[in-house]
Amino acid sequence: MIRYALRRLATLIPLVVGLSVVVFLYIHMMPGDPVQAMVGRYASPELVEQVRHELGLDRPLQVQFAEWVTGLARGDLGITLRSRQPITPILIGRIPATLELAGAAFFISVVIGIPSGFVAGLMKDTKLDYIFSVTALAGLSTPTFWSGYLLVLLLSLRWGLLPSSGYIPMTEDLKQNLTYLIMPAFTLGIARAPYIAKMTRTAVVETLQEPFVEFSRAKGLKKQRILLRYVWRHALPSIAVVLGLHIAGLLGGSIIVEELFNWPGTGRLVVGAVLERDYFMVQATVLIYAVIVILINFMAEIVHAWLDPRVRLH
Amino acid sequence: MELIRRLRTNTLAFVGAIAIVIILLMAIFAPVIMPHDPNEVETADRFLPPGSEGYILGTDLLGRDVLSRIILGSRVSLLVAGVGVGMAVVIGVTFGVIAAFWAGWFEIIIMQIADVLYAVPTLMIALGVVGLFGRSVNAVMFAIGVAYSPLFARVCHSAVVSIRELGFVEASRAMGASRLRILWKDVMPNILPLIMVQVTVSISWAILQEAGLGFLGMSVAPPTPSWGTMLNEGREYFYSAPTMPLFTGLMVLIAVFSFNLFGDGLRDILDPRAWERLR
Repeated sequence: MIRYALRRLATLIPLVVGLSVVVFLYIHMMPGDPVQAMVGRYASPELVEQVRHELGLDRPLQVQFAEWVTGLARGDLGITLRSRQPITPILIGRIPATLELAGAAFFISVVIGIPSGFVAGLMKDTKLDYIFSVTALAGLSTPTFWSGYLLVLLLSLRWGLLPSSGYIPMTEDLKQNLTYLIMPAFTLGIARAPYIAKMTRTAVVETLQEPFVEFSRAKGLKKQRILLRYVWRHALPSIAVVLGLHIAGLLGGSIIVEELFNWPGTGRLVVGAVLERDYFMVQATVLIYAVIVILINFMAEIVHAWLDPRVRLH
Repeated sequence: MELIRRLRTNTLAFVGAIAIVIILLMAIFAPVIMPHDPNEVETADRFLPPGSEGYILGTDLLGRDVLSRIILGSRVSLLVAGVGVGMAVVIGVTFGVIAAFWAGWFEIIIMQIADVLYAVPTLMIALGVVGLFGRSVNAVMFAIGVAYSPLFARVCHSAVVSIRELGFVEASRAMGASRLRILWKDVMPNILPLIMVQVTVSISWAILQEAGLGFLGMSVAPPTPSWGTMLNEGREYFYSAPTMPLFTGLMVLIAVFSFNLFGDGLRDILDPRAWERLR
């Protein structure tokens, strides 16, 4: 098991190296002069050169790359273009809010998605399964800002049950924190639940086709026992992988949900950075998001191998 | 023709296909069916509620007709989604297929890049690209193209890898067929259904993506209406005038749902085993 984990870990190294190269090149892919775009069209050439020098963008590419990589190794993501503040502390300050939102949404989507997908898989080709498929597709097609808008209209504006947007840190007031969390978490969770449900359904349908299910049935085992004891266990490893892949979608979706509910997480940081043309910040956040996604997928694969010993042999 | 016959047996896919045709017709004949000039500013008629005289879906912050703007907006949204996915297909399929067929360093490097990009949420890639090139129609198309090409590269790569070892390909090779001939005559027909399904589904995501970018203020710049841009304009006044963004969002939902229904049905209709081979 440990050997498998190490082997998988080794395959991540080129991925992360490739990632840092692609992200580093981002700012250099801009057509025209990024510095000119930052300081504005009417800045004097002297100013442009001064800013370029201050940012270190006038040095050879390989020198810049070496510095960027050594900085990364020390956990230094560079400085922001606008305020020239170090990026790492800003980013770390934003992470708890996003983590809380993504975690709650993950929980909601799993609680809705796995049971409904499981039932639909068992009822394959029945009317219920049909209704399930259409509902899941409709759910996948619903823009998060739209369902979020509806929630705000009903729960905040009409019934006044929940605050429409904002954030209060958990450390300040836990109860308040939760009332602010409910709507964003539901918006994101409901948006992602159909995805998990569909994948769970596929896993269950595939499991039911396995010979061992037929054998247990022939042996006269009770249906419940077959389902809870064998089918579930067999479907679980592939669901674990799906949950890993689900995280990337969750993080992408949280960008819009954070913006909709004024949730001060990393998603809003990204949007702000793009709008302000703070390319260094964009680079840093893209890198962090990708690393998180890669790590979570790695963990999902390890769980997969742990649950399903056959995987380890490959 | 066979496709259409099979399509009719799958009710959902059929409904999706008809809805897509209607939406496309709406986009093509937008100037004819729009009840008002979508850019006509009428400050006296700002924020009229839906059902007002002459304005079925009401007006926006500048007194422009919401229905007309949604109809015209379909053009930019569908164009951006369609061309964007088209770019992704060209880039992704080319690199994916070549990588699978000319194994070696090229394959490793290309698939590594695809994997790297695949790890970044697509919305983030799109945001990054629009951040670099500005809010033009071309930039948004390119953003969608870049965001989705890794997906096509990966799908094609794994499909070709599983096909290239199959009996009939080996037979062609034994008969002395060139690589290009094998690629064209043996491999392409087999991955085409796969690509078609992926294209349909990706267009639905791309429409959603454009709307999302727009909501964040990063889609095509005004005054050209696209659904995304309209969502952004409606955002500021959402609490006082929620109907415009709600109707626009509903239109996005309908369009995305239609493509999803069609794509899902297409997957069942076209060789379903192709998907199993991939897993």
